[in-house]
Amino acid sequence: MTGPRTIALAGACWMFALPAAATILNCRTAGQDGYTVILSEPDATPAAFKDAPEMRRAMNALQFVLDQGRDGQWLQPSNGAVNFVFCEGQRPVLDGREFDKTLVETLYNQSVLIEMWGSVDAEVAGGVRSRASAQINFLLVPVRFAANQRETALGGLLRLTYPEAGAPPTGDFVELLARPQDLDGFVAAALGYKALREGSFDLALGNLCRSAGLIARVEARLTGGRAKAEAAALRQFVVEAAGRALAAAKGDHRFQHGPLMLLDAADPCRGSAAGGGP
Amino acid sequence: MGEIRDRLDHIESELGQLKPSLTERLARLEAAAAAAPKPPPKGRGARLLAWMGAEAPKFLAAVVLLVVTYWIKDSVDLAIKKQQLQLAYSKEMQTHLEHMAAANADRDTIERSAMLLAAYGEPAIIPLLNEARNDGLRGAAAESGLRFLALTDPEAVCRVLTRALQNRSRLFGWQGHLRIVRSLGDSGCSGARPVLERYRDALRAAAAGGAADLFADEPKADGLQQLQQEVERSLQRLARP
Repeated sequence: MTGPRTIALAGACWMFALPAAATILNCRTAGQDGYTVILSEPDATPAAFKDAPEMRRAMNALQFVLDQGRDGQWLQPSNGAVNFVFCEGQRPVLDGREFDKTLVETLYNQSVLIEMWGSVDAEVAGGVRSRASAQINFLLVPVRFAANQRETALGGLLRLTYPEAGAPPTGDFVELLARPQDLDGFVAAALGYKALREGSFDLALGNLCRSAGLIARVEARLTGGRAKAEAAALRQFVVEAAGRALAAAKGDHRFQHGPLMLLDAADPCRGSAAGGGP
Repeated sequence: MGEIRDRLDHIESELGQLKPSLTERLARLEAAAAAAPKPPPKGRGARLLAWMGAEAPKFLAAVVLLVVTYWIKDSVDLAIKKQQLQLAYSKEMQTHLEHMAAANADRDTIERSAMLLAAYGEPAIIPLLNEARNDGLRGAAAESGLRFLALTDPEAVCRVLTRALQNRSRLFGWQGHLRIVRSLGDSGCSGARPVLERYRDALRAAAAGGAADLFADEPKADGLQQLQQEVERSLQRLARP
């Protein structure tokens, strides 16, 4: 039976499912006092979230869990923590074309480490959401900034799908997106590379080596295709960057009497406090 | 009596012996006078002055007073109109500045507002420069606006940006300096080359651990490196013919 109410409801659902016009906002960041990971609004199907307020509640819950409810596996910087910020209303297009050179420089200089956005879907059975799925883009801002400076050919954008292979299905998006350690690996990589450019070579080395190990797990999990190749390229990049961090530390008088002097430049992550490697 | 008559006779005889004679001389003088050119006719002004007689100075004073009064009134009118225009500009620019600063402003809105500000020309330089002090999208949009403004009024933009870079009252953070340096290069401010060269020296001193009294904040090594790279780029751009 199709009444006007049903049609209106279906219309509202259809409109919510439409890809919204891309929007980039002046999101709040930690600025000079720390580092920021920005969570944008995902494109959502009506099965995933019945309306925008529900989606925003879920994103706020995700932000809280990521920011407060778990211990990240990156080495904490002494000059400010890594903060997760949900940027309400920001919705980049899936291919991330808005992140041009100007915007990336702006984000980089605001100490933004990662921009996260994507799309979410689910199955609904008996009015209950199950089998939530997501395709999430991770833009590693410092890596993209380095690419814009022609320091690397790596684009710094990884697209991963969730749930990961073998993971139990869930209808909870917070559980779906907060559980994987992928984000920890990407934060460590972005933080490490940013620290390298900022001259904090010990922080850089520790995080880059740690990220190498975490990204190796992502790489091993992926079955193939572009995502696996991108993860492999990122792992290689962070290992090379770790070598640069160690070489720079050995040439810097501030680190002449520290433990970094004991590490081997040919294999910078072997023996470092962070470990690393696949 | 006889003596006087003798003397008169003597004079007459002397005159009678003059050659040419007195009569002839008189005739020549009269002929020369008749042949002399006539004086040119008097101009209208002179005739008018002659006609006005003693009233002429009073009339001239009145005319001068009228001209001076008209000139002063015109200048005052112009100044008032300029003030009114600036007031109107300020009110209109305020709207765009509020759009740029709105908490939920998106990138398109911020950039569009900066472009509209740039359209006001020279009066928009200071508001845009102030916006360039912000980090985030506002600062980037303001930089873009300044570069657009330099397309229409490069002299004014280059003059203000050069002075801003010379300012040592820590008015700008390092990101503001980055935007100023880049804008100088992109806007073709060739007159700013000596200032940029001195600024490069100051950056080198700061990077070597010297006193960094350039910025409102304290850039990390990476910030100084970005600034140094941007100064080099701008100097290279300005060196091109």
